[in-house]
Order: sequence, then C-alpha cells, then structure tokens
Amino acid sequence: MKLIGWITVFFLGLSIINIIAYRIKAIEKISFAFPIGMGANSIIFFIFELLHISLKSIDLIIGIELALGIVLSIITIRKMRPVFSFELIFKKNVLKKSGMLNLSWFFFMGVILFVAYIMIRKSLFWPIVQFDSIAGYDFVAKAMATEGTLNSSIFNSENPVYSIRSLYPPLAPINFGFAYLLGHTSSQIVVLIFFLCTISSFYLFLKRNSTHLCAAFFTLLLLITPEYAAFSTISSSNIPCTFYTSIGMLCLYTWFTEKDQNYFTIGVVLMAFAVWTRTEAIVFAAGGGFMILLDGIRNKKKIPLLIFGLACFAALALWQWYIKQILHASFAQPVLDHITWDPEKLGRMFDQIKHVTFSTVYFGVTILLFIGMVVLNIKNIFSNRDQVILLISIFSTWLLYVAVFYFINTDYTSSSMEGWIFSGYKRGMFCFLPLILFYSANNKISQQVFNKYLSLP
Amino acid sequence: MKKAKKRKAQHIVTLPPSRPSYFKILLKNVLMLAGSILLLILLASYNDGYGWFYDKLLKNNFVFMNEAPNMTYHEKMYYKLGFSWKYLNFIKENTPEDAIILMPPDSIFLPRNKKSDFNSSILSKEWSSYFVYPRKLVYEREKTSSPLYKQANYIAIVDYCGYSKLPYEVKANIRTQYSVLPMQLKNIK
Repeated sequence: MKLIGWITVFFLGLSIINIIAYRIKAIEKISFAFPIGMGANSIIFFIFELLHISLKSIDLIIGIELALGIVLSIITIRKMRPVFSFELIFKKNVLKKSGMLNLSWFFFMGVILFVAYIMIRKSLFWPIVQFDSIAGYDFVAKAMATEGTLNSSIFNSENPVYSIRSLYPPLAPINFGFAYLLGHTSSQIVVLIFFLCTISSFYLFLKRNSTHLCAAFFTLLLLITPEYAAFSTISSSNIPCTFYTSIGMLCLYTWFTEKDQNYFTIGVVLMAFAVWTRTEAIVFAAGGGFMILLDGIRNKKKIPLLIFGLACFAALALWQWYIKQILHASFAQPVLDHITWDPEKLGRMFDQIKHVTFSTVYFGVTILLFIGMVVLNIKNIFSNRDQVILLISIFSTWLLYVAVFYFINTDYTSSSMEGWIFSGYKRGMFCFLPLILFYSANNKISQQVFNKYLSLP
Repeated sequence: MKKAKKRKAQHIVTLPPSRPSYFKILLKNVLMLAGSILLLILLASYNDGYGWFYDKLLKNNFVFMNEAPNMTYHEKMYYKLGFSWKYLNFIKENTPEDAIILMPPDSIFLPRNKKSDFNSSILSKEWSSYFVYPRKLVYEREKTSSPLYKQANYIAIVDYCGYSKLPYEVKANIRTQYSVLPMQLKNIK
C-alpha cells in the first residue's frame, strides 16, 4: 500500500507537469514530480474534507488520483504526441557526456551521495520528537488519519489541544496524515522527499547555466549548511516550504530571463503551494510577483500577474476561511494591531538578525560567500546588470521578511525575545539559501572561474 | 591568375586549436581534486558550523545508528524524550481510549527546589496530549476553565501526589510514586 500510494503521488505530479509544462527537461519533471504531486494530493484531500467524505477512504483517494493521472497523461499524449526513443535519450544524455571525467566532480558527487545517505538513514531511524511538530502539524496529521477529518477532536471547543502551529496551512499536515494512512509509523518520509527534491532540483537549475563541477560544488554547499542539514532530518514544514519558495522563485527567474512559458506555469503552481504550506511564504510570492510585474510593464501584459496574484491569494484566503468558518479556531496572533515607529525595537531586532544571519555556525559560509560575491560583482551589477533582477528579488523579499518580524508584538529585549529571531527567522532563512547560492554560482566572476579556469578540455 | 590564387588558397590549411597534452589535463584534474579535498577539510576544521555538521550530525549519528540498529521505537522515544514520554506512554497503555485523565499541578511535575524526572514540555497540554491521543488530558490549572475537569475519570499520580483526589482509599504500602488510577474502582483495566 505504501509503495502504491507514493507511486500514485509521483505519477499524479508527473502528469500535472506534463500538462502544464511539457517542454521542460525530463529530469526536471522527475525532480519536481513529488512536490507537485503532494501539493495536488493536499488539494484533493481538502476537497474531500469540504465534501464531508472521510479522509480515511484512502483507497478511494488513491484511485481518484490514479484515474486523474491517467486522464492527464492521455491528454498529454494526444496533444503532444511524444516520441519515445531509448536510443535518442541514451545518445543525447549519456554517451555524449561520458568523455568528461572530472575527478573533483566525482569527489563532490560522492560526498553529496554519502551525506544524503546518512541523512536518509537518520531521518528514517529516529521517530518524531520535535516539540513544534508534536504540538502542531504532526498532531493534526495523526488526528486526521485517526478521525478521517481535518476538523478533528483537537479543535473541539470543549477541550482544544491545538497550538498556533496546528493552524498553519494544510499541505504539510495533510501529507503527514497521508503517510500515516498509508501505514507509515512516522511522517518523516514526507520531509525527506522534499529535502531530496530540493537538492536535485537545485543541482539542475545550477547546471542550466554552469558546469557540472560548479553545480556539484554549490549543491554540496547547500546540503552541508549546518542548520538546514539539521532540519532536513526532523519533522517540520520549513523544508517543504523551502522547496516551494526557492524552486518557485528560480522557475520564475528562469521564465523571466529565458522567456520560457513552461517555467512561468511551474513557478506559479509552486508559489501557490508555498503559501498553502506556510502563510509567511506570501513574502516570497511578493518577490516572485516583482519579476512578473516587471515583465508585465516591459511587455504590457497584465494577465500573468493576475494569474499569479489570484493563485497565491486563493491559497491564502481559502485556508483562512476554513480556520474561521469550519474549524472556528482562533489563536491570538502575536502581531501589532497598529503601525508604530520604534527605532529602539528596530535596533534590537537588527542586532539579533545580524547575529543569526552572519552566524557561520548556523549557515556556514553561504551568507558570507553571497555578500562577498555581490561586492566582487559590483561593477558587473551596475554596468552589465548581471543577475540584477535576481538580486532585487532576493533583497526585496528579505526586507519584507524582516518587516514581518518588526510587526510582531514583542520588544526584542532579552526578557521577551521568545525565540522569534533565533528560531522563526532562522528557519525562514532556509528559503533564501538556494537563491543566494544560485547567485553565488551564476554571477560573472564565478562563471569565469568555473568555465575558464576550472574546466577540463 | 584567378586559378593560381585559388590553388594557393587550397594549400592553406587551418590547424586545429592546440589541445593541451594528456599529462597536463591529468595534472590539472588531480590538482583540482586535491584542492577540493583540502577545501572541505579546511571548512570542517576551521568553521564551527561545518565542524558540528561533520562531528555531531554525520559521524555521531552514523556511529550510533550502526551500534544500535535494532533499537525499538520505545527505546528511541525514551532516549530522546526521557521520563516524560515513558510516563505518558504508561498512561496510554493503562487507560481506555475514552479516558479523561486529570493531571497534577505544574509544581508537582517541576518542583522548584528538587530535581525532576520530567522535562518542561509535559506542562504543554498540546504536547502531552499527542502521546496519549485519543485520550484527553485535563490539567489541575484548568480547574475553573475546562468543562472536562469534572468529567475526569482517571487521575495521574505523580510523585505520590493525586491519591487524595480519589474517592477511595489506597493503602500506603501499595502506593507507588507514579501511576494512573480510575476515579471509580470498576474502571480498573
């Protein structure tokens, strides 16, 4: 049952990608299939929930997903008439590149595989013990799998046992619950899949514009970023959100630079799923929206921005509506109800942000490398406009993200920190890691180093 | 004249770009590999974050998982969450699914001047409820706020506290430090 369930999710994701972005590379489709499948899975579960059909009807749900996947695949085959040729794939992808024997690439890939192997083992070895998951998403998932509804007894007004973490959007809890319904004893497999998909997708994006060596090196840097690696093996919604936000942003950036409509569609879907995973992902939607807005102004097009805005808003609004109208759940939001200007609070907050952001214990050399690359490329940024849109998107998203923390109802003194920066902000920074490493790998200087000095004839 | 020019042009042979020798490629390849290995060693040695990643996250976990491959779920949970999990699991195993369990005051779980067997997470109702689900917990601090308080049909005994809440007498010689007992004697599982 477990295998059938996951194959179905993968197949559903793959068939959705084939419908919306047929022209992207096959390997990219494989890398995106699970996250898109799990996003679609959460929507199908949510529709069942709204129709008051028990979510425990796992056979029915898998059957519907399988049927949907088959229908979408038939439409794709009839529309696109793909030619399957083993010889073509083999010749194109393997034989032509087999002459390249870069020992450093083999070394980096070996380290990546070894680290990933230990992460997979660790992830499946330990049960879920993280406070946030136990008192939040995993509890919602467990109750959903037992009672067959998202509106489970933990939201009972007589004896509420939910926390603010239980009210996060449902993509992660639904898929955690799906894992329990399939018979897993732990929902950790969901986080693991997202983690592996982030690593493989990131490699593929780097490889688009750079060498295999460059892609392997920067993928390894992402994989071994201490705090991100630590979180990749524990139950949380931060890792799925990292996939959706960062890969969504990279898809939109690829669309913006290469004018490939397929990446726009994938980018919109991934960003909407990001908001469907964690509400604060809306700041990344704003960063992605900036690129779409800019393209819209250049080409006098309004529709893409409208589609993107509607998709993200629908994801946000639908869950808020469900919390208020169906769950009748509320949790005192720790945000200010009015805008105030408090320079002292801002100063204290930035002190903590500085401490976390530039901590090499948390993020290794990634942030410092990024800042260094921006400084080294100042001339290229201003004279050649090298990656300038990506940089504006990263910085504007980060500023919005920081602004969210300013509006939290705390004064950031040592007695009232409540871990906003040292916990919440730090984990949210995971979403920026693939973006800043992408810039570090793709700027003019890095390209010159990898393409000229570190390439083998 | 034209023919002569043409003939001359035919004799101009463009040489292919000179390829570095096989030895040079190999040398560059080996040097790059050495540089890559050195870079990772330096990162792990001189950066606390990567050092922690290598020593604690990779090495320690790898060794631990190899040394204890047959660790049971219960052993893992106890290893990670300690006595808090053990006690909540004891409650789960000794009460029916519809039980409403009255938990003692916070000061019993975490007394001020005494070392406690519990961690602070046990004071979180959401956290504790996860381990006993679908059983319901009601804490002493909810006496006035929770309608479940009066419906409690089990009582959690922690550090000999809770016996006085029972409507029946439990002899001193059979009292245990930690237990869970029904409010009504007929409820004994």
